[in-house]
Amino acid sequence: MNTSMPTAAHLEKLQHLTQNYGQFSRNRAGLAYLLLLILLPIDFFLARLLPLNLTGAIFGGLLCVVSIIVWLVVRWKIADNIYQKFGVARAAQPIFDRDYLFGLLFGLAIVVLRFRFSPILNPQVPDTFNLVLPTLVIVVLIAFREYRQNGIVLGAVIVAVGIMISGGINANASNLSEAQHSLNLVVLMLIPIGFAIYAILEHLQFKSLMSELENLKTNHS
Amino acid sequence: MTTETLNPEMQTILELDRVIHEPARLVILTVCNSAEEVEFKFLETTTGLSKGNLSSHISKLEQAGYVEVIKAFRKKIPVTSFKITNAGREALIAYWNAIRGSIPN
Repeated sequence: MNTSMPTAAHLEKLQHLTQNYGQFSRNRAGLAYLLLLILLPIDFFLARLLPLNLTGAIFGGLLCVVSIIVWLVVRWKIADNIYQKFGVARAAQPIFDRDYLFGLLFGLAIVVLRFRFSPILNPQVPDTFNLVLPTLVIVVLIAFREYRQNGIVLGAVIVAVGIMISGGINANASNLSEAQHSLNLVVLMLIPIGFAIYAILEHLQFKSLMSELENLKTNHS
Repeated sequence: MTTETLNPEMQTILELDRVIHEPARLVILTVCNSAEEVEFKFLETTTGLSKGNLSSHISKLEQAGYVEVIKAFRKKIPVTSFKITNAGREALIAYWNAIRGSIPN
């Protein structure tokens, strides 16, 4: 760095760069979302192979847990690669921890997809095991996170919405028409499409940020 | 010439915080202010300073109480991070206000 006084524009650029880097490295450059897109169909098809009984439901739950663990490990590896190159800059105020939310949405999507394709009216499989319980677990996790980050009001609102959703799912499980099922499927398909668009945009932005940092490094050396 | 005889703008310039006014330290503090915590390596990339130079500036900022040094280990490798303190943030804001106030229209 030369010793001349940095201009306001230069400082602003550095400020912007640091903030973006902090945010993007937290989101793992969108790559974590692409991984979700790979895991989602794999989980879905594996879940369909499971028997429709209590054992199947338990293994379905385990599958969700294993997927989330795999996702977390890969995210951590991606972050590690980025950090090894440029070091860490943690974002000052994460407004919304999108990684966490997307992870939970992922879990929720699996649960709902499984519900859509499983004849859960099979009396051998309790509804609570198949759907309502995992949904409630996910909701409680989201609520806890929001309570920690944004206070009790948001946490309570999420719990309330979660209970409503779980209740609604339970109540409607037996009387969904084919048309409603198809509509559900279309809506659910929007989740991976949303992930894909978001992941691509995020990654493109991260690429340009990386090249900016590389340029900065080259200019200094 | 004493500072009492100077006009207020000139006086503001003379009273600028010398710790922050140094270009490298101003850059370091600006980067630290933009994140919750930054690692030595990131500062190296963004400031372009050599390791020794960066360390010496960081020490001055630490002595002034503007940054906090956090030493930790990642995979058994020592990692040094920096966090701007409240005093550092206030000093940076005060510095900017002083500079803005002394720029002629």
